[in-house]
Parts: sequence; structure tokens; C-alpha cells
Amino acid sequence: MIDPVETFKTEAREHLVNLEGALLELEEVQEDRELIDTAFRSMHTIKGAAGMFGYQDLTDFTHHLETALDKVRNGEMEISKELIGILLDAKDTIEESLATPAFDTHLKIVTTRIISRLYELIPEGVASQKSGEQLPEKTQINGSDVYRVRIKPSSTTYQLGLDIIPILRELNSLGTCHVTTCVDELEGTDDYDPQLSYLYWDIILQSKQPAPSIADVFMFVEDDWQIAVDPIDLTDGDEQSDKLGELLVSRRIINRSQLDAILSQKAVIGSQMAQQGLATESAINAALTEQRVVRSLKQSSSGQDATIRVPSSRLDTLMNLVGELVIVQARLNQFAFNNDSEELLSIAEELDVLTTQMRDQTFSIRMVPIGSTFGKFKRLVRDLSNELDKRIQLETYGAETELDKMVIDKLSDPLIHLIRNSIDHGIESQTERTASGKSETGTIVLSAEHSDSFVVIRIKDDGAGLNSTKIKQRAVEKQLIDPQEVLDDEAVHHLIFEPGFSTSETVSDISGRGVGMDVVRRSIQELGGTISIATQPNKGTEFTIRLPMTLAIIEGLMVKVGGESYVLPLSAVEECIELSHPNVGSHTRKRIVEVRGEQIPFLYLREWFDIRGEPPSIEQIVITHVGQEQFGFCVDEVVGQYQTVIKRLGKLYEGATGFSGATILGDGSVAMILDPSALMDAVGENQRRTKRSLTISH
Amino acid sequence: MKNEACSQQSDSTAVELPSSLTIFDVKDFHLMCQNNWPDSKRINLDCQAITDFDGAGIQLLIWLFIKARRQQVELVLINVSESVKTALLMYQLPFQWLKGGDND
Repeated sequence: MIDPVETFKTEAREHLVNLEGALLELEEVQEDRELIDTAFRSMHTIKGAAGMFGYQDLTDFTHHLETALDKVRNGEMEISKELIGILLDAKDTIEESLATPAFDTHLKIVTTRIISRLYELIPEGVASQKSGEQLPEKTQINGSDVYRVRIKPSSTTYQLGLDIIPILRELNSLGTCHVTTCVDELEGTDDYDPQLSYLYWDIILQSKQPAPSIADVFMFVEDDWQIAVDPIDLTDGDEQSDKLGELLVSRRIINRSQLDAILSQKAVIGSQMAQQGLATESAINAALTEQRVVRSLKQSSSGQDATIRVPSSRLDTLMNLVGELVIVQARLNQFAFNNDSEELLSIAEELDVLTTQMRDQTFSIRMVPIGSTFGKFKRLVRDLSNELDKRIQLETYGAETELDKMVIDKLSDPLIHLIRNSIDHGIESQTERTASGKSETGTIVLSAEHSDSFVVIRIKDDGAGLNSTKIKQRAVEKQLIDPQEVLDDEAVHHLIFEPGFSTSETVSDISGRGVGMDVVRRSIQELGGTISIATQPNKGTEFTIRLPMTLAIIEGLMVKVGGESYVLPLSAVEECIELSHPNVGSHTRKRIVEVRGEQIPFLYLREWFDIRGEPPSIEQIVITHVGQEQFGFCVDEVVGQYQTVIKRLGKLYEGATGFSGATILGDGSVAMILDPSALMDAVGENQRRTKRSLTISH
Repeated sequence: MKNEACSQQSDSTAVELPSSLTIFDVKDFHLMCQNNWPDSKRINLDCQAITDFDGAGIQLLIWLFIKARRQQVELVLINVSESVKTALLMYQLPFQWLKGGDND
């Protein structure tokens, strides 16, 4: 079971993320009502939850912050850079304070300072007031509004030719009605006159119709009957709001002091009220109906966004189990195929469909939008640009792009490094920018998008661009390259990924320790991804990260080379062609094949892996693509599609180039998973040295 | 009840409701019920004849059920037409007797 306090902390952190995001946006737009409400709601919820879990100091602290935000909402206070700064500091302090229910001395000092700063901004006389006003009502659930409708016909209504039945019928046609027919006046009379009306109705109506349409139902009776139509706030997070006593108070059946008196008696509230004659049985039944309906609607509404908090370790376990299931499935498929039993094959096929569905569903559980990490980058840009006295704005795109949670978690640090580098080295100072004809404000664009089964993340700045001369000079100083070595621009730019490389003259807190970029590249490679650079002097630099959406299971294409099985990621495969004219006498591993007029380089895997023996008379070339580039792999045989559970290679294989992992096959043997991108790079490197190539016409 | 609307069986009494149970009829039927309420532990209210009713008629039925409950008499509606059933369902009455409906 998950500890409720841990749940509180997790949820509080989520609210803090929302709060931070709203504050950062407010700093720019200032007048956005929705953002102000978001910030207020986050603070309000943290305060309420903190109180419930015994974080009294935090409750007291957040109360002051909530008050300030309430003043902003009411127009009594303006959003200013100072206020945002204070609230952001407060957010950090709240985050820190979640560790312990009571503030230690440090936290007490920090929070006192924050409150003092806050009170300096809050207009006189309003700081100590309680932020009691409720948020604007939001009653919509599933696109419907929920109303409490009370109908009390006049006693002579039937004699006047009016009737409740058509009214009820019409209300039913507007949506879902939960009706309580209140009979207490009928029960209470000793002198029943059947021609008079004694009944009245309490109705909870869930309807997509606007309030005026509901009012129209009573058009012909409103002068004669008592009618009340009140919206119910289903988004009210207050735990008390749907308690029976509160409902009876809100229905004006009892008053607050009567409720308090009853509650002090610690008995079943409904029967107590009925016994004391405070509320009739009908009134209590009506309130209970509302309680039941509202709770159910709240529950179904919360189910819309479907969040069940599950420790990520459980998801990892589930993923591993699914991985094992996929392997066993492969064994079963092979066994069924070898035994030539139609029934067994049919069962294996059905199970295969289910396994695939289960695999996909399990994947989808782990997928989270990358935007969840964008918030922290906005804060990073804000704080660092203030620190360096630069004007920088961060634009984000594709926040909804989904990626495996594990990938997102591991991606956070590399992205921070890249953004820090853009701020520190990329974007120039205001003076420099103005001098070079640029706007004073620099821009960093962080974007994410799906591309096949990959996610492409780009970090682009409009700064000075990489300085090739300076990079090369520093590389020589650091003895990373030989002074005489001739490198093209691309190769020079890639030097920044070398361990220990830095062009920064001084070591700062922000970057310049020379440990950043090589860690970035390694982290991304560990995630099965690639990073590339595009830069232009005075225009800026763009880093492009290409990552697989998941690290667990991929669809692969199994091939054979020299009796061994290998797997290529199917997402990278474009087509397979026969190679009928092998060039045995080649001295290079990279060759060219012509496909429909296009020359595509390919790698002869037999040679690459130093496999001896005769190749088959007809070999296959699997054409893959990495980004825009096409590249082929010559193999002995293409076996077919294969669900590949990726197993990481141990330390023993750390130096092996061109493999992204291994997988276990149905017969228990191991197949290496080829990494087309890494193989392309390795071959390119090889080619640079040999400078030879051979063309084969297909 | 000692008129044509009542018929006594072994352990229950059936009461036939009139064809019209509206504001114009409720007074007479109420009077009849007061004067001829059967002394039985189970009373079946036969709705077969009802073709016309309004809120006053439904209210009268509710009053009968309240009266029966006070006297600890089991009151059951039988032969309930769709129109009556629809109206009663709209009222969403809390009494269990509505479930006894139909041709119990």
C-alpha cells in the first residue's frame, strides 16, 4: 500500500509544478485570469492537504501565499516581477519543507523572510485578511452541468389546472434526473384534502442544456410555484462539501449552529436531525440523494483523467514480466511451427495477438508527455538568464509528445546541460546582440516530436553559433587532436562531446567545467539515442536528439549472418533487396548499391564481423534509414519480423561497436541487436581512413 | 370496502382503481377509501382500469400508501399500465411497493 503521506507529497509536488508553470507564464502575460486561478488553486490545495496530513507550519505558510494570490485574483494586487520572484522562492521552500511536517530553524527563517517580503508588496490592511472567497464556480462534468432543482407547487395547483407530471417529464428530457419526492407534508396532515397539493420535489439534474433552458421548463408555473434552480460545484475539492450536514445547510434546511450542535452529539446525523425535528425525513432523503449523486459524479469525473498512483518499480516489474512473456511466446510460436500441429499453431497465434496487445498496453502505461519536464527548463532559463544578466526567452513545442517515463527521467540532466550551455555560451549578452543587429532578447526553442518510432528533441538557440576555430584550438590545447589534423566543420563541432573539452575561459556554476557535453552524449547513447549538431556563425546552434520511444521491447527484423541471428530495428528498415553480384575482392567494408537509380552505401556484415566460410549464392541487403540518410546491411538471409525484448549488454561488451543490446530467441539462443546509426558512424570513420569505395550496380 | 371496487380473497383484498384518477375524481375516490378501507393485511390496488390520471391522482395513491404503512398493511399495485408506471418512476418514490408492480 502506498503511504498516504507519500501520496500527499507526490501530489503536492505536482501542484508545485503547476504553480511554477503558471507563475512563470504570469511573469510574461500578467493578466491571464486562468493562470492566476491555476496558481491560486495549486496553493489552495497544498494548504488544505498539508493541514490534513499534519503539516501545520506549511499550512500557515501557504495561507499567506494563498492570501496574496487571492488579492491578485480580486484585483487588489498586481502581478509584478517581485511578486513572482517571491512566489517562486516560496514554491522552492514548500518543496523543501515537504521533507518534514514541522519546519526546522532554517525553514522558519526562510519562510519568515518570504512572508516579510510578501507583506511589503501586499497593500496595507489586506494582508491579514483571510482568503475566504471561493473560486469561480465550475460545475461542468463530462460536458454537463449539475443543478439542484427544488419545486414546490402551490397548494391549489391542481385546482388551477397545473400539474407536476409534465414538468417532471420535461426535466427528464433535459438530462438525468435524480428525484426525491418529499411526502412529509402529506404524512403530517390529519386532514388530507385530495384536491390540494402537498408534495414537493428535490431534483438533482445533470444536463448539457444551459441554465435558461432549465428555467424555461417552469415558464407557466413560476408565478404560482416556488422554484429554485442552483448549480452544484462538483469541482469543489473540499472534503466536507458533500457531507450530509453541509448539504442541509446549503439547502437552508438547517443553519450552521444547529449543525454544529448535532455534530457534537456524535450520533448518526440524519436520524438525530429527524428525531429533533430539525429536518424532515424527506429533506434528509433529498440531501442523501444529492450526496450519493454528487459523490458518484465526482468519482466518474475524476475517472475521466484516469490517474491511479502506482510506484514506477511496479511498472518496471510489469514491463519485465511482459518481456519474459514475449520471449516465451516466441518459444511457443517456434514449437508450434516445428510440430506442424494446426491446433497448436492456432492457439499460438491467438496468444500472440493477446501478447502483442498486452505489450502495447503495458507500453502505453509507461508513456508520459515530455511536457512534464518542460516546466523546470522554463525556471532554469529564467533564473540563469537573470543571473547572467541576459534576456532570454524559452519557447517550447510538442509538450504532448509521449516518451517512456524511464527515458524522460534519464533525459532530464542532458537537456539541462544543453540548455545551460545555450544560455551560457550560445546566447550573447544584450550589448553583443544589439551590436550584431539582433534583438536584445535571445530565444531558446525546445521542441519534441514523433518521427517513426523515435522521438526527436531539438534545442535551438539564436546565439553566436559554435566557433570552429576556437573549438579546434582548444582541442589541440587539450591534446584531443593533432595540430596538423585536417577536420571538416562537422568533425570539429563534434569535438565538444569529447571528455574534458571546454572552450570556457573560466569555470562557472553554470557550465564550463568541461564535463557536460561528453556526459550528455553518453547519456543519450545509453538511451539508445543519437545527438547531432547544426550550427551557423551568428545564427545559432541546434542540437538534435533522436531517441527510441521505449527501451524495453521493439519490433525487429531478424536476419542471419554466418549462422548467427541478428536483429535490426524494424522502424529503421525500409526494404530488403537481393544482392546477386557480390564483390568478393573488395578491400573495404562499405560499398554502394544502386536501387532505382539511387546509390546507397551498404555494409557487408560478413566482413564486418570477420565471418569466414562461403556466403550463400544470393545474399540480401536490408536498406535502413537513419534520419534522412539511407544505409544498407548485407546479410545471408532475412528471417522475418520479430518482437524483440531488449536486454542490455553487460560491461564486458562496453567496447563493442554497433550493438544496442541483445535479445533472447525462442530456442534460448541470443541474438545481437544491431544499431544502424552506430554502425553507419563506425563505417564512416573507417571509410575516412581508407578513403576507398566500390560501386555495385543493382 | 364494501362495494364493487373491493374483492376479498383468502389473505388479501383487491381494490379496483377507477378509470380516471384526476383532480376531478380524487375527491370521490378518497371518500370511498375513507369509508370502505378494507380490513386486510394485504391490499392489491388494481390499476388495470386507469386510463387517465394526473398529479392529484398520483398524490392520492401516495397518500394511500402512507396510510397503509401507518396501519402496517401491505399495499401493492397490480396490473400497472406503462403510463402509470412511467409517472410513478418519474416520482422515484422511496417505497418498496413500487417494485411489486405489474401483475403481482
